[in-house]
Amino acid sequence: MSGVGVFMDEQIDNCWSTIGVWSKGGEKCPRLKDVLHCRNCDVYSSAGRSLLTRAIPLDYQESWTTLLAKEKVEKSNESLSIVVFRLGDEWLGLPTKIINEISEIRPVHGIPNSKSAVTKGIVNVRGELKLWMSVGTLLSVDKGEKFDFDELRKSFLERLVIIEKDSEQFVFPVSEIIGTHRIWKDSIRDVPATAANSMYSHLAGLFELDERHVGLLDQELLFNSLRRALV
Amino acid sequence: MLFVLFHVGEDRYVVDAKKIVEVVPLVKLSNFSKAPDYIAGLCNYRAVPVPVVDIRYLLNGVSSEQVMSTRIFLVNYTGYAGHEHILGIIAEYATETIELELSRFHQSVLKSSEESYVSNIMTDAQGVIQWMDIDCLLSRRDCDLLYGSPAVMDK
Repeated sequence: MSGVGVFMDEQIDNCWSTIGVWSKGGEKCPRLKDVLHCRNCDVYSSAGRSLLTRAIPLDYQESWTTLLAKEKVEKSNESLSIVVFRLGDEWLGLPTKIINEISEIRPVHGIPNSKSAVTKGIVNVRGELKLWMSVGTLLSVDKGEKFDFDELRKSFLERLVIIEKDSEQFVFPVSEIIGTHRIWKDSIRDVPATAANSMYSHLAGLFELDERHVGLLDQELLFNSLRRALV
Repeated sequence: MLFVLFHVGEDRYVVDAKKIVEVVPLVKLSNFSKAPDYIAGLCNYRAVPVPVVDIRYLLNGVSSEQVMSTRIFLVNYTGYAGHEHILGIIAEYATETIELELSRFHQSVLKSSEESYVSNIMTDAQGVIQWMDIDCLLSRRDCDLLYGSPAVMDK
């Protein structure tokens, strides 16, 4: 080993965090006047480059050697795009392809003499009247007790989800939209057989996202239950 | 076309990105005693022993620097018998990929048998970039030595 390979971590002068933009007060680097930000400074970029020309740490090499020696676990490359949302305390997901639209909360108009607890009323979405259902009531999900948000924040996060399947549409409110995520099909686990409440019986599977369990709703069952709730 | 850029000493080379299976850090290699000098050793790649060529040693007779930017390319190497093998290549400054137009390359002037792995050459502001043909890297004799001769494999 010779030449460039002798850089050690201790030799790097991290001036950017002592006198540069990442310093906590104290004296400022005179170069900042010209370069404005450390990332424009050649001292910073050459220090960055020196990370590539330093010797390979032994534990880094060891861990890569073991990692590379392991047989590769073939994953199926089939994946699903899922819109993940929060409904009260539960994180749930629906296949993106049945999501027609996600929009802000609109006023709901009650239907006289409606006895169904799930059918809340009708809502005007750009001139079209759609049925506002409460999936939360259908699945008997607890109302966000775990999330101690104030009312303003709550109403700020709430969204209306419009789902569509075979030209049948339903609208339901959710507490928060988490986002669209691509999930490997083999990372979806079965729902525990012992779980027998209304929510679990509507799930097609469970998967993990950011260390949380997300229930993937069975779209067939959901549409069937919503249809039945109309009567 | 997408290429992966690396250095051999001061010179810049590229390989076709499609030939590369994986780029990994310079891992520990086990000794491969009977192999030619430019074989740095055997890499345990997914439980398969893969011979690793030190390309700087092969070209310049000097071993590659043992630094972070020196990495191993695991490439799909087609031997003389037409079989595909995985071959490891130690490459220095393996830090970037580069998009190059095929029309910018010229046929190599040097078409001697030794340098046949450099088929095409192009220039840019920083100098010459040589396109390395992985499949021509090993001599027939060395290919047979590393992967077994085709006569043995057909039995």
